[in-house]
Amino acid sequence: MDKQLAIKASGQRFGFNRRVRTVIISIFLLGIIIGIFIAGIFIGDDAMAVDFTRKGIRPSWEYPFGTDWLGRNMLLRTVKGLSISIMVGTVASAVSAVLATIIGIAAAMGSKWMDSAIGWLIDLVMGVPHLLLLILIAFACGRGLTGLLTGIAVTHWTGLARLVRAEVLQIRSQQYITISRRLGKSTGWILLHHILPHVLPQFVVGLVLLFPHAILHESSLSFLGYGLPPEQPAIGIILAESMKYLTGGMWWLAFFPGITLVLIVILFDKLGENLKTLLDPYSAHE
Amino acid sequence: MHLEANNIYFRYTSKTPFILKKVSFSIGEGERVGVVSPSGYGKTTLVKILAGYEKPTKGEVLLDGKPLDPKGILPVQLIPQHPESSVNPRWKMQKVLEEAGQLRSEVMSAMGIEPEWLDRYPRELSGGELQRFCVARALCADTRFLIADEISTMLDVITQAQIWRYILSEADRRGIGLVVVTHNPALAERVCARIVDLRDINHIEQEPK
Repeated sequence: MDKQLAIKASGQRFGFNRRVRTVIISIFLLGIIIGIFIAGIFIGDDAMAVDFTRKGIRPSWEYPFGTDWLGRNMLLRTVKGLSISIMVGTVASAVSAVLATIIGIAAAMGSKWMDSAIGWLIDLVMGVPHLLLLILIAFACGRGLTGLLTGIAVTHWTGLARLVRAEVLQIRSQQYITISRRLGKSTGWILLHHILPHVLPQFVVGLVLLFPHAILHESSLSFLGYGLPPEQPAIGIILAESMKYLTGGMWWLAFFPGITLVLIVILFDKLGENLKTLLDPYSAHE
Repeated sequence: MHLEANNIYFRYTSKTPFILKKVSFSIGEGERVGVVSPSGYGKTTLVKILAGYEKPTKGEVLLDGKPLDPKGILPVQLIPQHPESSVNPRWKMQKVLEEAGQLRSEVMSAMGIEPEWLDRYPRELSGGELQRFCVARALCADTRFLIADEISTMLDVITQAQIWRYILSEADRRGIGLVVVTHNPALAERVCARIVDLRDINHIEQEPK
């Protein structure tokens, strides 16, 4: 009760209700993420530029994230790395979410046999330790970007697929679906007009919440050496390289890239939570 | 047209007792039949089977001697008891009505549907207002039999009278057969020409709890 009052009071102070505030925060979060992504694209070879006259500089005003043992600017490398991570995360989670939605709907709308088969497949993918499966698939598809994207895309769909399946099953048994059928609507029409609009919010939220997983797994795979090639300044590569110099006291090599990666993950997570509040049918009209 | 149910048996699974046993029922064009009985004798189950919502475990439902077509617009339309669960909560009322074909303004005005309601979501309408939409939707162009499953129980008397007046005039005009499920004997006597008591035609052995 106190909390609600507090929310109301803070909303009134700025003259917005909760919905408008959530939209503004979401746009702000999205802006930061897109900003980092675009900044990364414009940083070309600067991130790779070697300059031995400035090697091993501690974080300072000129080099906020310091420089490494080859004199490369860590701020530029970190932003470039985050940009690559965001790109990989976007593609992998988009593919994964589309896959999850199609498979989830197929399980719910198809025959009993199809449902059991898909349930078995989901259990199988979920049963194998995630990172192990990722390494296997990334390795089998050839290392580098393709292997990485395939690996992340085909291992992350399971949770969302289950959610979509449950959602479709629940909708499918509603009385208005039966009425729709008796009014002569085909399964395809019902899928398009009744079911998909209902699943769409789950899809969008699931997509955004897949991001953090995809990014973290991309980094861990690259860190372990199964992901992106070493000449790419990906966060995983930066962290892996910095391991050798940590004992030499160059803590900033791991600290700043690591903390920004965590921040990006938290940003995505917050964005997903905000979208959930906006799109969820139970809180959408608050 | 003629709608008949021959020796219908129904139960949900092979482990549960029969809800309907050897029930036969028939209704002709333009006929008005009331279905009464205390709760638990399978009124709703029977009308769901008649409208093709459930398949009978045994027995058959025939429309002009042919089984109900699972595809296409069914000439037998059911108006369920709860209007809230009969409309998609994410649709505006305009789309709900259009699902049954073109909007007809004379139907809307006869049912007392205000034009501005079309722009609202189901949760923004009351039960009585929603039920008007469900009646209008069920009376689409191809309807030959209308089954009303306690559609007016939760409504105030004025709304009840309004809805029933419209249904009866439409049924008369188009020769639609009416099956009226109700607990209200006064309504059944007023509306129906023939009254069927499920206690007489449903041969389940033990008394339902």
